[in-house]
Amino acid sequence: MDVVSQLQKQFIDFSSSLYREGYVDDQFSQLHKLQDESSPDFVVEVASLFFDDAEKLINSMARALEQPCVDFKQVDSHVHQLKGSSSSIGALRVKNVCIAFRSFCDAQNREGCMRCLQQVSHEYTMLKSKLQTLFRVSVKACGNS
Amino acid sequence: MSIGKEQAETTSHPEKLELEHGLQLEFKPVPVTNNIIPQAEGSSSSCPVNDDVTGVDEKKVLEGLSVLLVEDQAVLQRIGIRMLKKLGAGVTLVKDGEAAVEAMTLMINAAGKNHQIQNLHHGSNLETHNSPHYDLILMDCQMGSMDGCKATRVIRRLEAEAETGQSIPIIAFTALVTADNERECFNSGMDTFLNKPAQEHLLAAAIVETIARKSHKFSCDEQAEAQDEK
Repeated sequence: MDVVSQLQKQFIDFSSSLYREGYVDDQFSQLHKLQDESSPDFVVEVASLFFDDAEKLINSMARALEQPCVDFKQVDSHVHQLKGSSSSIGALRVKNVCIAFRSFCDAQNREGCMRCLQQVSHEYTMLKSKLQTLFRVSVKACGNS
Repeated sequence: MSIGKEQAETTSHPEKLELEHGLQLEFKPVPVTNNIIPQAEGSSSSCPVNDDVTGVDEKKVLEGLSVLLVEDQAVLQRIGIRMLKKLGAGVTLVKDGEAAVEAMTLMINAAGKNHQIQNLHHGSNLETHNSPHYDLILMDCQMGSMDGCKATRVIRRLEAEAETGQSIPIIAFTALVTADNERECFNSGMDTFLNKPAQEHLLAAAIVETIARKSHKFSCDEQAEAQDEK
């Protein structure tokens, strides 16, 4: 198998694993449908916006939960925003943690919120790493074809 | 209730509507009530909206339309703009409810002045005021200090005060799918409720159907008024 085919196979296999392992869902495919010659880097641009947005929101949640008197509405607002942006790019695992996180905010359960914060941070970090790898492989596969 | 209005609300015959910008749609008129468009997880279509758009290029089904997108999150702004442009729409982005009200104030004031000029000088070819014009608002619900529902209430009040009879179609575009939120959206004056994230074809169908429904209601109201005056 030549280098180009190897890279393309690598890209396809890696991409499939993201869906199989639940990191992304069909919404991620929908983003690819919005990419074309007029907007060739659309998926990477949206992912970059998501990374910026998610990091700010996770930091804001952490600060809010550190307060002696936690404003659960404020935390919930940040979680809601992260749920919205994660579901829009198809970040399934992050979105699912946000759903659970919101329940703990409603219940004003600080311990539950702290656990969810750790989990969402972990899922986000994993997703970011996976997507960055995917984009690198994609660039290599395109560059060599 | 005049006969014209009754016919509009009870007929089930498909009709062809000539809209502005050359759009032609075939649809079944529905009562102008709450129209909920659910978005089932993972499904490609569970929407009760009639999304059969005949006689129009499916890819650019929103060609010629101008959409005011009200959205505060960068990711969702990017996706929303891209999707609407791909469907052929012109897009103006504002980032919160206050900015949406400002944009609509300009449009409503200009429409009000043009209406007065036309009433005073019926049949004359006078210069009318130009301002940005929008055919529809795609409104996020949860935003900063002025959310989508608050902004919608203000816009509807401004429209009523302008007395032009115009009422811009507004779609609630939200990830918060609860009965309470839905009720609040409709009570504030929004026309359609659409779950985020929406696939391209569902977004297109919601926009087309909402504009068609409002356009039909507007022309029925005008007919009804004309009947009443007789």
